[in-house]
Amino acid sequence: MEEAKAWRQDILPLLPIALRDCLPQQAPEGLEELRIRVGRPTRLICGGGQETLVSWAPNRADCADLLMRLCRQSAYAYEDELRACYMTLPGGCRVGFAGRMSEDGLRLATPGAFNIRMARQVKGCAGAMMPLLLKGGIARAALLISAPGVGKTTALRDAARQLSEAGYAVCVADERGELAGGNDGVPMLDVGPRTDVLEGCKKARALRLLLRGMSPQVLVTDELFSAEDTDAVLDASGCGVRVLASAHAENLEDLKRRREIYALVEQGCFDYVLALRRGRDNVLRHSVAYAKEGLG
Amino acid sequence: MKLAMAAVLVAACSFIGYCRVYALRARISALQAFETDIAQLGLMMEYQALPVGELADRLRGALPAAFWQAFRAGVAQGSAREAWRQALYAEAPYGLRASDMEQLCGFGAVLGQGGRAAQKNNVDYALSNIKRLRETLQLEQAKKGGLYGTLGLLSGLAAAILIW
Repeated sequence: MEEAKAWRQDILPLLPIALRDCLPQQAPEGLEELRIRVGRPTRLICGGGQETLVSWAPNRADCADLLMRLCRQSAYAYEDELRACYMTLPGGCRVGFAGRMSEDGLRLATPGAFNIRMARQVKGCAGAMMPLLLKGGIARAALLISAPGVGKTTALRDAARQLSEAGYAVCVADERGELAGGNDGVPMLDVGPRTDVLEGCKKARALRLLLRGMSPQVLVTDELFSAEDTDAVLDASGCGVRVLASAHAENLEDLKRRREIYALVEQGCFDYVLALRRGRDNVLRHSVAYAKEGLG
Repeated sequence: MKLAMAAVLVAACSFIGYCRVYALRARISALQAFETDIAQLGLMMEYQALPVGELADRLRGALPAAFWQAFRAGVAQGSAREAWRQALYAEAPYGLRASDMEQLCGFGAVLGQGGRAAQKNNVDYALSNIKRLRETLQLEQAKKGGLYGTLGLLSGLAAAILIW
Protein backbone atom coordinates (compact mmCIF):
# COMPACT_ATOMS: atom_id res chain seq x y z
CA MET A 1 0.00 0.00 0.00
CA GLU A 2 2.74 2.41 1.04
CA GLU A 3 4.86 1.36 -1.92
CA ALA A 4 1.96 2.13 -4.22
CA LYS A 5 1.60 5.55 -2.62
CA ALA A 6 5.33 6.27 -2.87
CA TRP A 7 5.30 5.20 -6.51
CA ARG A 8 2.32 7.41 -7.34
CA GLN A 9 3.26 10.46 -5.26
CA ASP A 10 7.04 10.49 -4.95
CA ILE A 11 8.41 8.76 -8.04
CA LEU A 12 6.07 9.10 -11.05
CA PRO A 13 5.62 12.91 -10.91
CA LEU A 14 9.40 13.36 -11.03
CA LEU A 15 9.95 11.26 -14.13
CA PRO A 16 9.90 12.59 -17.71
CA ILE A 17 6.52 12.20 -19.41
CA ALA A 18 7.96 9.82 -22.03
CA LEU A 19 9.10 7.43 -19.30
CA ARG A 20 5.94 7.90 -17.26
CA ASP A 21 3.89 6.79 -20.26
CA CYS A 22 5.85 3.53 -20.48
CA LEU A 23 5.56 2.68 -16.79
CA PRO A 24 2.62 1.07 -15.02
CA GLN A 25 0.49 3.48 -12.98
CA GLN A 26 0.54 1.04 -10.05
CA ALA A 27 3.85 -0.04 -8.57
CA PRO A 28 4.64 -3.63 -9.62
CA GLU A 29 4.49 -5.95 -6.64
CA GLY A 30 7.75 -6.11 -4.71
CA LEU A 31 9.34 -3.30 -6.74
CA GLU A 32 12.74 -2.45 -5.31
CA GLU A 33 14.63 -0.49 -7.92
CA LEU A 34 14.19 1.47 -11.11
CA ARG A 35 17.42 1.50 -13.12
CA ILE A 36 17.85 4.10 -15.84
CA ARG A 37 20.95 4.14 -18.05
CA VAL A 38 21.81 6.31 -21.03
CA GLY A 39 21.13 4.48 -24.31
CA ARG A 40 19.70 1.41 -22.58
CA PRO A 41 16.16 0.29 -21.82
CA THR A 42 14.93 1.15 -18.34
CA ARG A 43 14.68 -1.76 -15.92
CA LEU A 44 12.26 -2.36 -13.09
CA ILE A 45 13.77 -4.69 -10.53
CA CYS A 46 11.51 -6.52 -8.12
CA GLY A 47 12.28 -8.72 -5.12
CA GLY A 48 14.28 -11.83 -5.92
CA GLY A 49 16.05 -10.11 -8.82
CA GLN A 50 13.06 -10.29 -11.18
CA GLU A 51 13.56 -7.73 -13.98
CA THR A 52 11.08 -6.05 -16.30
CA LEU A 53 12.37 -4.08 -19.28
CA VAL A 54 10.72 -0.83 -20.31
CA SER A 55 11.24 0.43 -23.85
CA TRP A 56 12.28 3.98 -22.85
CA ALA A 57 16.03 4.36 -23.40
CA PRO A 58 17.14 7.88 -22.49
CA ASN A 59 19.74 9.93 -24.35
CA ARG A 60 22.14 12.33 -22.61
CA ALA A 61 19.69 15.22 -22.71
CA ASP A 62 16.97 13.03 -21.16
CA CYS A 63 19.37 12.11 -18.35
CA ALA A 64 20.23 15.78 -17.73
CA ASP A 65 16.50 16.58 -17.71
CA LEU A 66 15.81 13.71 -15.31
CA LEU A 67 18.53 14.94 -12.95
CA MET A 68 16.97 18.43 -12.89
CA ARG A 69 13.54 16.89 -12.29
CA LEU A 70 14.87 14.86 -9.38
CA CYS A 71 16.42 18.07 -8.02
CA ARG A 72 13.02 19.73 -8.51
CA GLN A 73 14.65 22.18 -10.95
CA SER A 74 16.94 23.40 -8.18
CA ALA A 75 20.47 22.02 -8.44
CA TYR A 76 21.66 24.57 -5.85
CA ALA A 77 19.42 22.98 -3.20
CA TYR A 78 21.03 19.57 -3.77
CA GLU A 79 24.64 20.66 -4.16
CA ASP A 80 25.98 18.32 -1.47
CA GLU A 81 23.91 15.43 -2.78
CA LEU A 82 25.13 15.96 -6.35
CA ARG A 83 28.66 15.94 -5.01
CA ALA A 84 27.99 12.66 -3.22
CA CYS A 85 26.16 11.20 -6.28
CA TYR A 86 23.28 10.34 -4.02
CA MET A 87 20.03 11.90 -2.94
CA THR A 88 16.93 11.03 -0.96
CA LEU A 89 13.54 12.01 -2.34
CA PRO A 90 10.76 13.24 -0.09
CA GLY A 91 9.25 10.09 1.35
CA GLY A 92 12.60 8.33 1.69
CA CYS A 93 13.16 6.87 -1.81
CA ARG A 94 16.86 6.92 -2.59
CA VAL A 95 18.51 7.82 -5.87
CA GLY A 96 22.11 6.99 -6.75
CA PHE A 97 23.78 8.58 -9.78
CA ALA A 98 26.67 7.65 -12.02
CA GLY A 99 28.14 9.35 -15.05
CA ARG A 100 31.03 11.75 -15.51
CA MET A 101 32.23 13.89 -12.63
CA SER A 102 33.59 17.41 -13.18
CA GLU A 103 37.34 17.76 -13.59
CA ASP A 104 37.83 18.69 -9.94
CA GLY A 105 35.82 15.58 -9.04
CA LEU A 106 33.50 17.64 -6.90
CA ARG A 107 30.22 17.42 -8.77
CA LEU A 108 28.39 15.27 -11.26
CA ALA A 109 28.93 16.98 -14.62
CA THR A 110 27.09 14.55 -16.94
CA PRO A 111 24.63 12.07 -15.48
CA GLY A 112 24.57 8.73 -17.27
CA ALA A 113 22.84 6.31 -14.90
CA PHE A 114 20.28 6.43 -12.10
CA ASN A 115 19.29 3.88 -9.52
CA ILE A 116 16.01 4.85 -7.88
CA ARG A 117 15.44 2.66 -4.84
CA MET A 118 12.00 2.43 -3.31
CA ALA A 119 11.66 3.28 0.37
CA ARG A 120 10.05 0.28 1.94
CA GLN A 121 8.46 0.17 5.31
CA VAL A 122 7.98 -3.46 6.17
CA LYS A 123 6.43 -3.33 9.60
CA GLY A 124 7.40 -6.35 11.63
CA CYS A 125 10.39 -7.33 9.49
CA ALA A 126 12.66 -6.91 12.53
CA GLY A 127 10.26 -8.90 14.72
CA ALA A 128 12.43 -12.02 14.73
CA MET A 129 15.45 -10.12 16.04
CA MET A 130 13.56 -8.22 18.77
CA PRO A 131 13.99 -10.98 21.40
CA LEU A 132 17.74 -10.46 20.99
CA LEU A 133 17.54 -6.66 20.92
CA LEU A 134 15.50 -6.73 24.15
CA LYS A 135 17.22 -9.70 25.78
CA GLY A 136 16.91 -9.72 29.57
CA GLY A 137 14.33 -6.95 29.39
CA ILE A 138 16.82 -4.27 28.42
CA ALA A 139 17.72 -2.77 25.05
CA ARG A 140 20.84 -4.28 23.53
CA ALA A 141 23.38 -2.71 21.20
CA ALA A 142 23.58 -4.41 17.82
CA LEU A 143 25.29 -4.09 14.48
CA LEU A 144 23.33 -5.32 11.48
CA ILE A 145 25.48 -6.46 8.58
CA SER A 146 24.67 -7.58 5.06
CA ALA A 147 25.63 -7.06 1.46
CA PRO A 148 24.05 -3.99 -0.21
CA GLY A 149 20.36 -4.22 -1.07
CA VAL A 150 19.39 -6.94 1.42
CA GLY A 151 17.36 -4.66 3.69
CA LYS A 152 19.54 -3.29 6.50
CA THR A 153 17.85 0.09 6.41
CA THR A 154 14.37 -1.45 6.39
CA ALA A 155 15.30 -3.68 9.33
CA LEU A 156 16.89 -0.80 11.27
CA ARG A 157 13.80 1.36 10.74
CA ASP A 158 11.52 -1.37 12.04
CA ALA A 159 13.79 -2.17 14.99
CA ALA A 160 13.84 1.55 15.90
CA ARG A 161 10.05 1.63 15.72
CA GLN A 162 9.66 -1.47 17.90
CA LEU A 163 12.17 -0.25 20.50
CA SER A 164 10.36 3.07 20.58
CA GLU A 165 7.03 1.30 21.05
CA ALA A 166 8.60 -0.76 23.83
CA GLY A 167 9.13 2.48 25.75
CA TYR A 168 12.70 3.47 24.88
CA ALA A 169 13.72 6.99 23.94
CA VAL A 170 15.14 6.38 20.48
CA CYS A 171 17.13 8.93 18.48
CA VAL A 172 17.88 8.42 14.80
CA ALA A 173 20.94 10.01 13.19
CA ASP A 174 19.64 10.05 9.63
CA GLU A 175 22.37 11.61 7.51
CA ARG A 176 20.66 11.00 4.17
CA GLY A 177 17.05 11.05 5.31
CA GLU A 178 16.55 7.43 4.27
CA LEU A 179 15.79 5.85 7.66
CA ALA A 180 12.89 8.08 8.57
CA GLY A 181 12.12 9.30 5.05
CA GLY A 182 12.28 12.86 6.35
CA ASN A 183 10.59 15.67 4.47
CA ASP A 184 12.03 18.94 5.73
CA GLY A 185 12.74 17.40 9.15
CA VAL A 186 9.43 15.58 9.53
CA PRO A 187 9.61 11.73 9.36
CA MET A 188 7.35 10.37 6.65
CA LEU A 189 7.91 6.75 7.68
CA ASP A 190 6.85 5.28 11.01
CA VAL A 191 9.88 5.22 13.30
CA GLY A 192 7.91 5.00 16.53
CA PRO A 193 6.19 7.28 19.02
CA ARG A 194 9.25 8.01 21.17
CA THR A 195 11.69 8.58 18.31
CA ASP A 196 13.48 11.82 17.47
CA VAL A 197 15.20 12.21 14.13
CA LEU A 198 18.10 14.45 13.16
CA GLU A 199 18.56 14.45 9.40
CA GLY A 200 20.75 16.17 6.88
CA CYS A 201 23.81 16.19 9.14
CA LYS A 202 26.94 14.00 9.04
CA LYS A 203 26.16 10.96 11.16
CA ALA A 204 29.17 11.38 13.48
CA ARG A 205 28.09 14.93 14.31
CA ALA A 206 24.42 13.93 14.48
CA LEU A 207 25.21 11.15 16.97
CA ARG A 208 27.06 13.59 19.21
CA LEU A 209 24.39 16.28 18.95
CA LEU A 210 21.62 13.80 19.76
CA LEU A 211 23.62 12.39 22.64
CA ARG A 212 24.07 15.83 24.18
CA GLY A 213 20.70 17.31 23.42
CA MET A 214 18.04 14.61 23.35
CA SER A 215 18.98 12.19 26.19
CA PRO A 216 18.53 9.05 24.09
CA GLN A 217 18.47 5.51 25.47
CA VAL A 218 19.02 4.05 22.03
CA LEU A 219 20.85 5.70 19.13
CA VAL A 220 20.16 4.41 15.64
CA THR A 221 22.25 5.08 12.56
CA ASP A 222 22.73 3.54 9.14
CA GLU A 223 25.87 2.47 7.27
CA LEU A 224 28.89 3.07 9.49
CA PHE A 225 31.69 3.91 7.12
CA SER A 226 34.43 6.25 8.25
CA ALA A 227 36.69 6.44 11.28
CA GLU A 228 34.72 9.51 12.30
CA ASP A 229 31.54 7.43 12.46
CA THR A 230 33.15 4.70 14.54
CA ASP A 231 34.62 7.29 16.96
CA ALA A 232 31.15 8.74 17.49
CA VAL A 233 29.71 5.26 18.15
CA LEU A 234 32.52 4.59 20.62
CA ASP A 235 31.72 7.86 22.43
CA ALA A 236 28.02 7.03 22.59
CA SER A 237 28.66 3.50 23.91
CA GLY A 238 30.91 4.98 26.57
CA CYS A 239 28.01 7.16 27.73
CA GLY A 240 25.71 4.24 28.44
CA VAL A 241 23.64 4.61 25.30
CA ARG A 242 22.81 1.51 23.23
CA VAL A 243 23.74 1.89 19.60
CA LEU A 244 21.86 0.16 16.83
CA ALA A 245 23.77 0.51 13.57
CA SER A 246 24.39 -1.15 10.24
CA ALA A 247 27.39 -1.71 8.02
CA HIS A 248 28.13 -3.31 4.68
CA ALA A 249 29.65 -6.78 5.19
CA GLU A 250 28.23 -10.13 4.19
CA ASN A 251 29.50 -11.99 7.24
CA LEU A 252 31.84 -11.67 10.22
CA GLU A 253 34.87 -12.53 8.08
CA ASP A 254 34.08 -9.59 5.80
CA LEU A 255 33.57 -7.37 8.83
CA LYS A 256 36.99 -8.29 10.20
CA ARG A 257 38.49 -6.76 7.07
CA ARG A 258 36.80 -3.47 7.92
CA ARG A 259 39.15 -2.88 10.80
CA GLU A 260 37.70 0.32 12.22
CA ILE A 261 34.21 -1.12 12.42
CA TYR A 262 35.35 -4.48 13.71
CA ALA A 263 37.34 -2.64 16.40
CA LEU A 264 34.00 -1.47 17.80
CA VAL A 265 32.94 -5.13 18.16
CA GLU A 266 36.24 -5.96 19.84
CA GLN A 267 35.85 -3.06 22.23
CA GLY A 268 32.43 -4.31 23.29
CA CYS A 269 30.32 -1.54 21.76
CA PHE A 270 27.87 -4.10 20.39
CA ASP A 271 26.16 -6.95 22.22
CA TYR A 272 25.32 -8.61 18.94
CA VAL A 273 26.40 -8.62 15.32
CA LEU A 274 23.48 -9.86 13.25
CA ALA A 275 24.05 -10.97 9.67
CA LEU A 276 21.02 -10.36 7.46
CA ARG A 277 20.07 -12.24 4.33
CA ARG A 278 17.03 -12.80 2.17
CA GLY A 279 15.50 -16.24 2.15
CA ARG A 280 14.25 -17.88 -1.06
CA ASP A 281 10.80 -16.56 -0.15
CA ASN A 282 12.39 -13.06 -0.19
CA VAL A 283 11.79 -12.72 3.57
CA LEU A 284 14.48 -11.05 5.65
CA ARG A 285 16.24 -13.45 8.01
CA HIS A 286 19.08 -13.00 10.45
CA SER A 287 21.74 -15.09 12.06
CA VAL A 288 23.85 -14.20 15.08
CA ALA A 289 27.39 -13.68 13.76
CA TYR A 290 28.69 -12.53 17.12
CA ALA A 291 27.30 -12.30 20.63
CA LYS A 292 28.98 -10.80 23.66
CA GLU A 293 29.95 -13.28 26.34
CA GLY A 294 26.96 -14.33 28.39
CA LEU A 295 24.46 -13.35 25.72
CA GLY A 296 25.04 -16.20 23.30
CA MET B 1 -19.61 73.45 -31.03
CA LYS B 2 -16.11 74.94 -31.29
CA LEU B 3 -15.97 75.24 -27.53
CA ALA B 4 -16.88 71.60 -27.10
CA MET B 5 -14.25 70.50 -29.65
CA ALA B 6 -11.60 72.66 -27.97
CA ALA B 7 -12.48 71.17 -24.60
CA VAL B 8 -12.25 67.64 -26.04
CA LEU B 9 -8.85 68.41 -27.62
CA VAL B 10 -7.45 69.84 -24.39
CA ALA B 11 -8.73 66.84 -22.44
CA ALA B 12 -7.41 64.30 -25.00
CA CYS B 13 -3.93 65.83 -25.23
CA SER B 14 -3.69 66.17 -21.45
CA PHE B 15 -4.80 62.53 -21.14
CA ILE B 16 -2.06 61.39 -23.57
CA GLY B 17 0.54 63.38 -21.61
CA TYR B 18 -0.57 61.95 -18.27
CA CYS B 19 -0.75 58.41 -19.75
CA ARG B 20 2.90 58.73 -20.63
CA VAL B 21 3.70 59.81 -17.05
CA TYR B 22 1.61 56.92 -15.67
CA ALA B 23 3.31 54.37 -17.96
CA LEU B 24 6.72 55.56 -16.82
CA ARG B 25 5.68 55.34 -13.16
CA ALA B 26 4.18 51.85 -13.66
CA ARG B 27 7.33 50.63 -15.43
CA ILE B 28 9.49 51.86 -12.57
CA SER B 29 7.29 50.27 -9.93
CA ALA B 30 7.18 46.96 -11.84
CA LEU B 31 10.98 46.93 -12.03
CA GLN B 32 11.15 47.78 -8.33
CA ALA B 33 8.86 44.84 -7.55
CA PHE B 34 11.12 42.45 -9.50
CA GLU B 35 14.17 43.94 -7.80
CA THR B 36 12.67 43.33 -4.34
CA ASP B 37 11.49 39.80 -5.09
CA ILE B 38 14.59 38.63 -6.94
CA ALA B 39 16.75 39.90 -4.05
CA GLN B 40 14.52 38.06 -1.58
CA LEU B 41 14.57 34.90 -3.70
CA GLY B 42 18.37 35.10 -3.83
CA LEU B 43 18.61 35.31 -0.04
CA MET B 44 16.19 32.41 0.39
CA MET B 45 18.22 30.31 -2.06
CA GLU B 46 21.36 31.05 -0.09
CA TYR B 47 20.05 30.52 3.42
CA GLN B 48 17.14 28.11 3.08
CA ALA B 49 18.43 26.02 0.17
CA LEU B 50 14.94 24.72 -0.66
CA PRO B 51 13.83 23.93 -4.20
CA VAL B 52 12.83 27.00 -6.16
CA GLY B 53 9.15 25.97 -6.34
CA GLU B 54 8.90 25.81 -2.54
CA LEU B 55 10.66 29.15 -2.22
CA ALA B 56 8.10 30.66 -4.61
CA ASP B 57 5.38 29.35 -2.30
CA ARG B 58 6.96 31.00 0.73
CA LEU B 59 7.87 34.27 -0.93
CA ARG B 60 5.67 37.18 0.15
CA GLY B 61 7.19 40.01 -1.83
CA ALA B 62 6.23 42.94 -3.99
CA LEU B 63 5.12 41.04 -7.09
CA PRO B 64 1.50 39.87 -7.29
CA ALA B 65 0.89 36.47 -5.69
CA ALA B 66 -0.50 35.28 -9.04
CA PHE B 67 2.96 35.64 -10.57
CA TRP B 68 4.58 33.31 -8.04
CA GLN B 69 1.65 30.90 -8.19
CA ALA B 70 2.01 30.68 -11.96
CA PHE B 71 5.75 30.12 -11.57
CA ARG B 72 5.18 27.42 -8.93
CA ALA B 73 2.70 25.63 -11.17
CA GLY B 74 5.10 25.85 -14.12
CA VAL B 75 8.01 24.40 -12.14
CA ALA B 76 5.89 21.41 -11.17
CA GLN B 77 5.36 20.71 -14.88
CA GLY B 78 8.73 21.41 -16.43
CA SER B 79 11.87 23.49 -16.31
CA ALA B 80 12.33 26.58 -14.14
CA ARG B 81 13.37 28.55 -17.24
CA GLU B 82 10.09 27.85 -19.02
CA ALA B 83 8.06 28.37 -15.83
CA TRP B 84 9.68 31.78 -15.29
CA ARG B 85 9.07 32.83 -18.91
CA GLN B 86 5.44 31.76 -18.81
CA ALA B 87 4.78 33.47 -15.47
CA LEU B 88 6.46 36.59 -16.78
CA TYR B 89 4.30 36.82 -19.89
CA ALA B 90 1.11 35.83 -18.09
CA GLU B 91 1.31 37.59 -14.73
CA ALA B 92 3.98 40.31 -14.77
CA PRO B 93 2.75 43.67 -13.45
CA TYR B 94 1.64 46.31 -15.97
CA GLY B 95 4.15 48.72 -17.43
CA LEU B 96 7.05 46.57 -18.61
CA ARG B 97 8.30 46.88 -22.17
CA ALA B 98 9.46 44.08 -24.46
CA SER B 99 13.11 44.95 -23.73
CA ASP B 100 12.45 44.68 -19.96
CA MET B 101 10.77 41.33 -20.44
CA GLU B 102 13.75 40.07 -22.42
CA GLN B 103 16.11 41.15 -19.69
CA LEU B 104 13.98 39.48 -17.02
CA CYS B 105 13.80 36.30 -19.12
CA GLY B 106 17.59 36.25 -18.93
CA PHE B 107 17.34 35.80 -15.17
CA GLY B 108 15.10 32.78 -15.63
CA ALA B 109 17.41 31.19 -18.21
CA VAL B 110 19.76 29.81 -15.56
CA LEU B 111 17.40 29.82 -12.60
CA GLY B 112 17.84 26.65 -10.56
CA GLN B 113 20.80 25.40 -12.58
CA GLY B 114 24.28 25.17 -11.10
CA GLY B 115 25.33 25.52 -7.49
CA ARG B 116 24.62 28.17 -4.89
CA ALA B 117 27.51 30.33 -6.09
CA ALA B 118 26.16 30.27 -9.66
CA GLN B 119 22.70 31.23 -8.43
CA LYS B 120 24.13 34.09 -6.39
CA ASN B 121 25.97 35.38 -9.47
CA ASN B 122 22.78 35.13 -11.50
CA VAL B 123 20.80 37.05 -8.86
CA ASP B 124 23.51 39.71 -8.51
CA TYR B 125 23.75 40.15 -12.28
CA ALA B 126 19.97 40.46 -12.70
CA LEU B 127 19.72 42.89 -9.78
CA SER B 128 22.49 45.13 -11.09
CA ASN B 129 20.81 45.29 -14.53
CA ILE B 130 17.38 46.03 -13.11
CA LYS B 131 18.78 48.62 -10.71
CA ARG B 132 20.64 50.40 -13.52
CA LEU B 133 17.52 50.50 -15.68
CA ARG B 134 15.31 51.63 -12.79
CA GLU B 135 17.69 54.42 -11.84
CA THR B 136 17.80 55.66 -15.45
CA LEU B 137 14.00 55.66 -15.58
CA GLN B 138 13.72 57.42 -12.22
CA LEU B 139 16.09 60.09 -13.49
CA GLU B 140 13.93 60.45 -16.59
CA GLN B 141 10.84 60.63 -14.41
CA ALA B 142 12.38 63.36 -12.24
CA LYS B 143 13.45 65.35 -15.28
CA LYS B 144 10.57 64.81 -17.66
CA GLY B 145 7.71 63.48 -15.54
CA GLY B 146 6.14 66.93 -15.09
CA LEU B 147 7.08 67.90 -18.60
CA TYR B 148 4.98 65.16 -20.27
CA GLY B 149 1.88 66.28 -18.37
CA THR B 150 2.44 69.96 -19.07
CA LEU B 151 3.27 69.28 -22.74
CA GLY B 152 0.05 67.35 -23.12
CA LEU B 153 -1.97 70.17 -21.61
CA LEU B 154 -0.16 72.88 -23.65
CA SER B 155 -0.46 71.01 -26.94
CA GLY B 156 -4.16 70.56 -26.20
CA LEU B 157 -4.51 74.27 -25.57
CA ALA B 158 -2.53 75.09 -28.77
CA ALA B 159 -4.74 72.80 -30.85
CA ALA B 160 -7.84 74.40 -29.29
CA ILE B 161 -6.59 77.90 -30.17
CA LEU B 162 -5.82 76.78 -33.73
CA ILE B 163 -9.34 75.46 -34.37
CA TRP B 164 -11.03 78.37 -32.58
